[in-house]
Amino acid sequence: MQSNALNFVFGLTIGLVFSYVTISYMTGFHIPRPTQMRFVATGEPEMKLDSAGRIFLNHEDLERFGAIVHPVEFKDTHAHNDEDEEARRLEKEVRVLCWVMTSPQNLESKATHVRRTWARRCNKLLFISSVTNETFPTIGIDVPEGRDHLTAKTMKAFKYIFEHHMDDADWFMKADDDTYVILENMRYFLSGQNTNEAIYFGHHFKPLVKQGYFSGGAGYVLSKESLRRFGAHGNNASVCRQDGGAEDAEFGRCMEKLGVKVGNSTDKLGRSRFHCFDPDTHLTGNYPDWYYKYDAHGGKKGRESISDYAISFHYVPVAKMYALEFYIYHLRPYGLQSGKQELNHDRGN
Amino acid sequence: MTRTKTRFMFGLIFAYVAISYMTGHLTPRPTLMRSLKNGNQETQLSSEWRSFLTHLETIRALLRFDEFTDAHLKNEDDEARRLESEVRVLCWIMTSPKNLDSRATAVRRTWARRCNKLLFISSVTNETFPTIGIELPEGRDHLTGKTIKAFKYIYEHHIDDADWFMKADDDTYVILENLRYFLSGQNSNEPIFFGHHFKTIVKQGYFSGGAGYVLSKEALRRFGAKGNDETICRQDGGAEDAEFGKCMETLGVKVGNSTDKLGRNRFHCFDPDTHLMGGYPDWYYQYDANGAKKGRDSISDYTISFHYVTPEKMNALEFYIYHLRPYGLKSGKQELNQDWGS
Repeated sequence: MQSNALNFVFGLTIGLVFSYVTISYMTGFHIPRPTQMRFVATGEPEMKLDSAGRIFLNHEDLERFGAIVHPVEFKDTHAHNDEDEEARRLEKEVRVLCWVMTSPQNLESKATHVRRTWARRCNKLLFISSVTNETFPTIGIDVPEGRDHLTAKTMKAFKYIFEHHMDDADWFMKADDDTYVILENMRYFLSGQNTNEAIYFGHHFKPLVKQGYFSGGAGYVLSKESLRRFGAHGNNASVCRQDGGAEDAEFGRCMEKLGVKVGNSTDKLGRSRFHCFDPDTHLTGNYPDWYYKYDAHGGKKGRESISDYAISFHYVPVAKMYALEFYIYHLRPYGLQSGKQELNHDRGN
Repeated sequence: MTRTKTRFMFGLIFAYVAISYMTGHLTPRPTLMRSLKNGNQETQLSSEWRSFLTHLETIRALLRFDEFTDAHLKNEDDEARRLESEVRVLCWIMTSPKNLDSRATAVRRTWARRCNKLLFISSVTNETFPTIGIELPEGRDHLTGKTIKAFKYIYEHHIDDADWFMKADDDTYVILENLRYFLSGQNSNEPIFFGHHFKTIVKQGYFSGGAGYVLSKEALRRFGAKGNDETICRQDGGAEDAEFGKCMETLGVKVGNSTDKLGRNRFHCFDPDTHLMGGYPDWYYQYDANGAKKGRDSISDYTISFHYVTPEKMNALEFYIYHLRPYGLKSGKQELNQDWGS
């Protein structure tokens, strides 16, 4: 009798444990990923509202509205039922090294938030500044701060990456600390490209360089072959300008000299993926005049000009980065499963 | 011999047609259609090709494709479509003659086209737009009157057109899929209504007008029966949402709870950025019934509404919610409704 009851209890216990584990798994239990961030609101209400909704067309404006904002917490890791196998697969197969150009005065106000939002999805992440900071950490490039030395910063940064991190990734992206990048879409796009080709991608500007060049703020990404060529000859002053001038244009000239091609990153419907302004600017089309002479694809505007699998935006204030995290990774219309769209061009385009 | 040959041919043709369709050779690419709409790009189209494309456009419009022909391929929306037929929502938008071109148009072109039935209510009837004219002057002093008369009109003419009846402003943005998901767990024969809960002024609290509130059929019935009685409900003046809330309470309509399983609000009386970052005006802390959470866990993934949304922001929200996607992340179905009896 006793052993019968015991058996029963034993069976009951095992049954309870088993069903608890299975049900927890089915209702979304999984190893918590670092999607938790804390939020505390500070600062002037007007400043905050403004900096999130405002449209910025240059860095001066952006700096004027730099409010101190602290990150947002989403304690919903257990409720999300996201199927992310495809994204995880691409994460392993298409390794992206992101280097973010920052400066000592921007560490707390910008770089921290970049790291807490999109940049944590990079396979390898480096912050490059004029000063080495062991705690953050940042890598110090021996170049003074300021817009006059952005070219040197970029040159030295890529040299550093070539020397130390060539094998850590398949693609090498430069971004600013006010760039926002959707890594899943970056990998999707790059999965259709060949990293042994001498090619690089970004938001295409047509003037100044014969084949055009890429906007620095929108972010641009080099193939391994491009990085190799740069590593071999990029620091030769007779080939590439080592400092001064506009960083992105000078780097673009350098790439052209080294035989690295400007690649096309528009999607199958002709829509842009890299963007040198923030989303609202591209949606409304309130561009400054110069943009129409620079953009290589006609300065299009509106919802239909931006790819569903957009990769980057620029002049994104910190508050907007958290808003984008919310819109892209959390806010959802119930019952609409976004399917996989085949938006890459076929090979050979 | 002939039989197998026919089969073979059939298979061959079927394969050819299928492959052509899939590789896009058979159907005209959406970019051509868009250039017709914009008239911006230079296209050398013959008149027959042009009329064929226009014909195709019409068919697509009839098939209820998005107004902006955005080539979404393979969107699995069966669940959303099922809810659309099972949980019918009538939306009435409070607007005014001067807001038709800007705000009301934006509302209609973005979120409101997803309502099962959509009505624009103004002080003046406009046949073209169209709007239904409630005979009252414009202005904040008559918002209560507008609301009372609007619901009366809907009770008299549209009670059978839907299961739920929602009021929104022309600067409210609503995600209909999430509204239906929430209401699918509710009972429309109960006298109940839902919205962004304010705890002041009315004993059981009331709902912010700007965030939108939605009545059950029973609530609308009770309002239709007695709502125009001066002794029961104030007919004009005062704050529209508070007065309507008092009216509902007098009629025995309960204030419902629409927070999700993680305690997060679904209706919001401010725009997304304000709720994300905090920085609320002082009064909000006395009003919000859910602790005026400063962005910390305050917004449900299946959020329903926001307020103070400009036409430009509505366009942006359409883009973020229905277009911009991270490749390879299929958002699963979350069970965020509270269980019955909560």
